[in-house]
Amino acid sequence: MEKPKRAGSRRASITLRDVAQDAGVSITTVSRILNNREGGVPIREDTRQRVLAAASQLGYKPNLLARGLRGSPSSLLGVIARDMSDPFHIQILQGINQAIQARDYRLFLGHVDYRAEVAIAYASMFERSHADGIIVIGDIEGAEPALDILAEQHQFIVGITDRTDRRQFPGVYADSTVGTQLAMDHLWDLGHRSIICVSDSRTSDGRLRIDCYERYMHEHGAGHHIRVFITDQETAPAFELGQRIFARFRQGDLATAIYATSDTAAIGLIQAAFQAGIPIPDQLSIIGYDDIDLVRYTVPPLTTISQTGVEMGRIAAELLLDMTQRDLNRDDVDDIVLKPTLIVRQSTAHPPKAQPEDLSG
Amino acid sequence: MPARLRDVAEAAGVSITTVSRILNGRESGVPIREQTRSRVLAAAAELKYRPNLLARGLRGSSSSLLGVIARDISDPFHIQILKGINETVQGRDYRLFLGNADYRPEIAVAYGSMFERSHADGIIVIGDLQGGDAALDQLGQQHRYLIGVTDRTQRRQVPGVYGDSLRGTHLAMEHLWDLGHRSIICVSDNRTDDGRLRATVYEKFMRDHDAPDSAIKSYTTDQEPEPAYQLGRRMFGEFALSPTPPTAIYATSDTTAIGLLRAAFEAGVAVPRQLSIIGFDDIDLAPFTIPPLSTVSQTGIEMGRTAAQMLLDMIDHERDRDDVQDIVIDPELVVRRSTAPPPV
Repeated sequence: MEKPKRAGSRRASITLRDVAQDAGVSITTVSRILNNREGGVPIREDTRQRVLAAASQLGYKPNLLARGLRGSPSSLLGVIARDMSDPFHIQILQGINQAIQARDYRLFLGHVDYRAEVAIAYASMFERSHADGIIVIGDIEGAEPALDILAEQHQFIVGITDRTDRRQFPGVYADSTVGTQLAMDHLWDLGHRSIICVSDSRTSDGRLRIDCYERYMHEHGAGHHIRVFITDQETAPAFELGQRIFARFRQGDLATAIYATSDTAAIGLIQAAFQAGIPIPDQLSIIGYDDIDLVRYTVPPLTTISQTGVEMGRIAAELLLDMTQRDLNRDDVDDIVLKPTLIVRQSTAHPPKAQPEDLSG
Repeated sequence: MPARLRDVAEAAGVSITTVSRILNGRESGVPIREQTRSRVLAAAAELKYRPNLLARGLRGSSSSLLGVIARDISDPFHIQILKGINETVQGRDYRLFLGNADYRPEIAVAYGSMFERSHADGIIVIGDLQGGDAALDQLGQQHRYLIGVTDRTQRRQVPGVYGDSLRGTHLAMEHLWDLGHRSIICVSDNRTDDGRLRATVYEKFMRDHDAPDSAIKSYTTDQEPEPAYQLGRRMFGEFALSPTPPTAIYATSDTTAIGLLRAAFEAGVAVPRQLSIIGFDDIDLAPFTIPPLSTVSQTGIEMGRTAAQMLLDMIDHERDRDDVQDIVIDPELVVRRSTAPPPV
């Protein structure tokens, strides 16, 4: 796939490489001089002067300087989170935390609460606090302009979402196309044909998973079974939606399986089924998405798609630290795409009255 | 510790209002004499007075900044508190910076120093830390505007918003007792003050109600669902062999109760027909467990809102810590479907 041109490829700040080019020396030499690591071969005084002059003329601002401005020997990473009460994002935060703890970095966390303008406000504060780098967790509807501004202000910025296409800055991505395929294959192989989708259209992941679900159903000749219900992905609204869906079940409008595009929504649906007296998985299968910590403890334990949130957080933090320490230009950094996996627990089974020959495949 | 407007006013021998008008650049109305202005500026310089507006200037931002140090950002009860804080500050052009202490006092102190260097206007500390009193002392020395949100009832170095574990435990135990339970065990986390306090109150309740020693039993576990689930598997294995297994469990956090519910489900123990389970906290997921969890609500959102309001008031009115009253939030019993009378 061709890399789309990113707004942020206009460089946000001067790198070691720029200083090296300007002074006509290697990046290593510049790094040794500016970072005060002058062991080994001595550096000639006129070289040093040339590098310092170039750095000053270009307005180079090394991380060490940033630390000095901040008055702290620790390094600082800013994290902008779409919703810090989202259990999947909490897994990501735990992963980031694990990666930085060994390395004398500290985190500052800003909670965006789905509002693009708040993300910009945090980004400006991180800039003024001389943050070494920024991690943005989650897509936000209408936030593309905000991300463009972020990308212009910060050289070291990494995103964590489940998009597969590259954005203004490099990122760690989970693959919603593969994840949806895994979930749908699992239900289809169990014999389900009447599968409904419950999703949140505020997020690009939610919308992408709906598209993948619809395409899957069409490709398998089950287009007439397509039904999409939209809800906020939190448990309470999903529970209320579940009550409405199961009321329709009583009027004969049945389905045998639900693909819920987040675990928090699946938990609400399971509760609604429990209260409506619909046994899971005997009468209805439910599969979730994310594999948040709590779904091993639902009754029954939830079948779901694991995005390995902790792993995503750890990898993103390591990518960002690598960029800051080696002064990498973001165009030189490749995206990292993680493959989701299917976790089969006890909330999915064959549909009721399924014919054995349907299942032999 | 930084000086306040009041200190400058005393040193210069003028009113706080006058100092505020001069230092905050609001000199409309009655003109201020030049010598008064000079005296105030000299006093402010000598006392190293640093108004919030100056802090904002240093920070290069017109918004104000609150630092939050949380014991564990993945604790659902603490997430409720964070949401409450967020709600309050959003209307007031304040921004939050959050540090995760991960149960370690030295990290809490490190965040405190960073907040200081970032010229934070105030700090909220969520949750007790084991061995964390020294850390809190240190934070208290560095920061004038510091608030704690925990569930202690005794006053500490800093004013705070407290849940009431004593009252909450009584509510849970009375509920079980009134249903007819006499053999009640307690499952708690002894890493935290709240966990230890609740276990102590449980034992006292049982003794006060003349329960025999054999009926009083406390188990400890980390409060997360996985260790609680593992403990539950062992417990229910033992109970299966017992002629008189306990009929109820008081779990001192909802996350623990969730792990126990799963273990009961796997062991074929019917909740609440054979065994009642009550939790503590009323986290967002408590209404959605199967069966929905009876619990004691600490109204985390309310605690967070109240704490933020209290801190903003202190900052706005430059109030001393000693002049601020603790606020204790009354817990409430929330009866759902995980508790019932014991089997006959």
